[in-house]
This record gives sequence, C-alpha cells and structure tokens, in this order.
Amino acid sequence: MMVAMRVSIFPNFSALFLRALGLACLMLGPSLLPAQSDELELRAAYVAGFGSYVEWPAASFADAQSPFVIGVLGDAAVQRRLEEEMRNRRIQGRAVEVRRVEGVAELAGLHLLYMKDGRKPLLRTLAGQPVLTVGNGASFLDAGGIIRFHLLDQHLRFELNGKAAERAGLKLSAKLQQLARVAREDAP
Amino acid sequence: MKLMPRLGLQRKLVLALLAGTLLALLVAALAVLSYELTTFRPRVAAQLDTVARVMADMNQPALEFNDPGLARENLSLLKLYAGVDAGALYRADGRLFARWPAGPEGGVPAQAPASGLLQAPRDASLALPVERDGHVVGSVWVRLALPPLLERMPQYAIMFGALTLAVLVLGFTLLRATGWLVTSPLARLAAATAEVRRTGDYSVRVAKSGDDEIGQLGEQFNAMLGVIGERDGALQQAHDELEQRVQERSRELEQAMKILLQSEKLAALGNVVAGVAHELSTPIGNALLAATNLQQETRHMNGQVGGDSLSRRELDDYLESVDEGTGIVARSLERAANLVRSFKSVAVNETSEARMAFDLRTALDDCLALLTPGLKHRPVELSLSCPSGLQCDSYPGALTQIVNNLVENAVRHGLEPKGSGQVSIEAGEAGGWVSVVVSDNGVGIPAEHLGRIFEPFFTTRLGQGGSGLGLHMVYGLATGPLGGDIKVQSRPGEGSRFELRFPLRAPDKARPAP
Repeated sequence: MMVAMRVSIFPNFSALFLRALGLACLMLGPSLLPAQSDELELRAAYVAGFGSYVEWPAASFADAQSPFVIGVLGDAAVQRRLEEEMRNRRIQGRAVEVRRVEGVAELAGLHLLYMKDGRKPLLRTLAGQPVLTVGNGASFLDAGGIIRFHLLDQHLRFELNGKAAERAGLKLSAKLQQLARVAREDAP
Repeated sequence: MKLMPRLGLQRKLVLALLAGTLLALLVAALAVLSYELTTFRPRVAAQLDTVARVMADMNQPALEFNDPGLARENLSLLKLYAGVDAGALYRADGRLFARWPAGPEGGVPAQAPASGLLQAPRDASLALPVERDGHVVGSVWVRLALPPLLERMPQYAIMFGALTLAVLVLGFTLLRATGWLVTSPLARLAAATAEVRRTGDYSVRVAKSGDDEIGQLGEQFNAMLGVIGERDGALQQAHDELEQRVQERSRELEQAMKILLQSEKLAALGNVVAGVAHELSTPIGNALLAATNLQQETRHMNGQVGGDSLSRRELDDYLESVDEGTGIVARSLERAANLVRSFKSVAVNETSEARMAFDLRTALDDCLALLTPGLKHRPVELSLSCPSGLQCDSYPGALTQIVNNLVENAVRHGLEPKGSGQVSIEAGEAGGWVSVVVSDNGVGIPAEHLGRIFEPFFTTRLGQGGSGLGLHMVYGLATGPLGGDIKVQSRPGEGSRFELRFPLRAPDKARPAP
C-alpha cells in the first residue's frame, strides 16, 4: 500500500497520508506522534549525512559527473523525505539520485542502500561490494550490514560494523566512528 | 689642562649616546603602538578565525547527527586556546545547540549571531557557518578576551627600562674602554701644538697613533710642521742676508758720507784761505807801502843830516810822516794778526774739536771776521748783536762752523734769488742756555722742504755745487758736541729763522764732531 503512493509525485497526498498516519499513531499513544515524525526526518537526514563521512573507492563512480545513488528498500516515508531533502543538495560534490529498490535486480550502481529491516540474502549479495548499507534491527550488523540505527533514550543513534565496511572497501571517517563510539559508550 | 678637552669630548659622546638611546626607545614605543594596531589585532582575528574553523570542522557530525553531548565535549577543548573564554554552536535554524562554558554566566548569545568578526574593546568574537557539502548545518561562535593595552603597558615599560639600562651600561663601558682611541691621540696632538707654540721649535713631531683618521691627522700635522719649519728657516735666512746687506750698504754709505764731509770741510777751508789771503793782502800791502815810504823818508833824512842842510821844518815833516807811517804799519799788522788768529781758530781741524773756555762775543766776532771777506762783493748786510762777557765752556770750533754754515745758507738760498737782503745774528743767554738766532729776510723755505732740510744729502741745488750736507752738519754739531738743539721757522717770502740753543757748559761726554 505504502509503496503505491509516490511522494515525489503527490506531495499533498503524502502530507495527508502522514497526518492519517499521525492520527493512527495518536490512537496507539499520543506521546509517540512527535517522536515518530522527528525520527523520520532525522532518519532521512542521517542517511544523507552518512554519504559525507564515508569514502568510496574511485572505481565505484563511472566518471566525475556520475551521480551519487541512494537506494531505499521498503521505507517509502524515508524515501520521500530523502527525495525532498536531496533535490538541490550534493554529496561528495555529486548530484544525488534517490532510487526505490525492491530486489537484487536493482542493486547495480548503488552507493548507499537504506533498508527498513535487515534482509540477510540481500546483505549477503552485497557483501564485498562498495555499497554502504544502512538499516535497522538488532541483527543487522551481524548479518553483514555496516550502519545500524537504534533508539537510545528516545534519541536516534547508530552503530558501525567496521569489518563489513573494510570488506566493502569503504573507509568510515574518524568523526563518524567517534559519534558511533560515543553513542555506544553512552549506552547503558 | 690635558684633562679638560678629554672630558669635553667624552661628555659630548655620552650626550650623543643618551640622545640616541632615548630616540631609539621612542621609536620602539611607537613601534609597539603600531604593532598593537597593525599586527596584534589582526593576529588576534586570524587566531580567532583558526579556532572557529577548527571548531566548525570538528562539530560538523555532532550538528548533523544531532549529538549536543559530543558538541559540548568538543567545545570544552576551547579551554586549550589561550585567551578564548567562550564558544557556542547553533543549529541551522539559529537555536542554541551547545555552549561552553556550560552555565548561562558565560555571556553566550541565545540566538546565532550574524557571521563575521566583532571587535570590542576588551574582546573579539567571530561567528562562522558550519557547512558540509555546501549545505549549512549550523553555525559556530567563539570569543577571545583581550587584556586591554593599558594592562599590557607595564610589561612594555619593564622591557624598555631593561633595554635602556642595558644599552646605557654597554655604551658607557664601550666609551670608557675605547676613549683612548680618540681622546688620547688628540690630547697628544694638542700637546704637540702647544709645545710648538711655546718653543717655536718646528722639529717637534707627534707619535704615530694608527692608520685611522686621527693617525692621518697626526701625519698631516707632522707634514705641516715640516713645511712650516722649512719656510721658517728660509725666511730666517733671507732675513739674515738682508740684514747683512743692509749693514754693508750702511757701512758704504757712512764711508761715502765721511768722504763727502771731509771734502766739504776742505772746500770751506779753501774758501776761508782765499778770503783770508785776500784780506791779508790789503793791510800787509798798506804796511809794506807805509814801511817803504818810511824807508825813503829816512834815507832822504840821512842825506839832509849828512849835508847839514836839515831844516827845522823838514825834521818836523819827517817825524810827522814817521808817526803816520808807523801808525799805519801797526794798525795794518794788528789787523793781519787778528785775521790770522781767526783763521787759526776756525780752519784748523783741531780747534773745532777742542773744548775750551771762551767768550761768546769774541768767538762770534772772529766768525764774522772770517765771513765778511766772502760777503764783500755781495749785496748782503750782516749784523751781530751779542752781549759781551758771556763765558762758555764748550766747543768754539763747532759753534763757528754752525754760524758759518747758517750764514752761508741764508745768503746762498735765502738772499741770492732775491738779489739783496739782511742777515742778522742775535745771541743771548737765559738760564744757563745760550741761544743764537740766525735770521734772514730772504725768500724762505717751502713748507714741503721744512721737515727735510736737516736730512743728509737733501739739497735743492743738486749739480750746482750743493752737497746737501751743510745743514746736516749743523744739526750734528748742535746736537752732538754742543749738547743742544736747533729749530727752524720759515714762511715762503718772509725769510727764515734758525734758532740754536746750547748749554753754557757742554755735556761731558760729547761726541766728536764729524
């Protein structure tokens, strides 16, 4: 259902949808609504931010004009946020293209893949490929993912899998590692 | 004496040192001020900019991934920068994200300030946007506290004081140590100069003090002394030679003058002899005539007596003629004797040099007796006025010569151009001094000649028999043997008046007459 609604084409509709979602959430628990909305925005901002703190091998771009391609799997809300956010922005000096991914067939040419939950077969396919995988779920890193979101005291934080990044040929910047470590050390 | 100029130079050098130091300090103070204005503030701004950029870069992920804890931790690193006392991070929408120091007392703005540098008297602050990939993710703000200039002044003052002291101590030490380089050679030079001036000895030399300018000065000084010495020697030699030549010439002149005087005397003597001979011939001729007549009368008488034809009348006539004849002979011979005596007293050289007691009137009479024959054929009246009985103890020869020359002079120069005239001699005595005035009513002496007539060889009749020595001789005799003086007064057309004054008793050590 959510997949059918393309945010980029129907922004008003998406806003309506969000409100509807908000109402739904309100019924579940009123306190969750602002956190949910914030978290969505932050999630999109974080995904875009990761692109600036990771170094890709030069071979992963066809030429200097090649765009930076972000794939989103199974999270239309984040995809819409990203498309909105990145329309006039650049990552690593390149234009940004946000792409919807549904299966292994659409993985080619991706630099960053955000998946709502860890899909092990997909991660296994991407193992060793220079694609920064960002996802959720406790076992995401164990399955071979590189960056995992998690909530800490209602703050959105992330963890890194350095070995997976190394295997993928990606260099995670020290600043990113510092943020992740601070987050971990802050963790109870 | 030696110390004074040395101190003077030292003092000048010290003053120059002091002035130079003060000037240098003034310049240094100005330099500090300009450094404060042109370098310190810009450097503060640059430092602030660096710190702000470091903070912006460091806090990029904290802002982007919304981690104020990390941002606070990063901001606390500002304490490592000297002078930085506050800093803050703001979100992209301007809300405060994190600050240091943590409390509100730090004066951190609640909203993001505008980008740029803000200079305040006591601090400077800078706000910069935090960007990532051209996207503004927030802003950073850093403040640097500045100690005011006045608080830093004591430090500068201490620095300048120490600098001044060091420069002065060093300068004085150098002056003391190197003073001899300049002052002692100069003192030696001054001493040598004083020595030369005192002794007039140009062979003095300054010891060589080195090859510097003062050493060269010494060498030049020595060379100058050499040149002066040579010139002085040459001058002295020329002077000596000149002196010798003057003496030679003077001797020759004296010799010539003696010869001239001698010939003048001889000429005068010749005149006298001729006059006397002429004068003597008359009385002697008269006497001879009278004696011959007597002889004839007597021979005639003898014949009369032998023939017994002697009459009483004839005897009376004979006796009368004998009486008359012997009278003529006696008078004529007396006159001749007088002439001879005058001649003796004037013409013989010894008599003019002989000092004796004589009667003034007699001497002047003798003199006139000698002059009269020479004047006989000239239209000149000569008169004498002199009291008798004036006894002098002097040189009658000199007096006779003077009067003779003055009268000759008056006749020849005063009366001859005029044709005729009078010459009067007036003698008198007052207070032990004799005055003899010889005056004429001739043409007088031109004023321009009046001061020169007693000079030797001054004559207006050069080539006409005038030797120019007559009046000079007068002057020499009057001032020499007679111990008196002679003055002349004259006006052209009114005649001349020579006044000779001499003491009754001539001075003892009289110079021999020339």
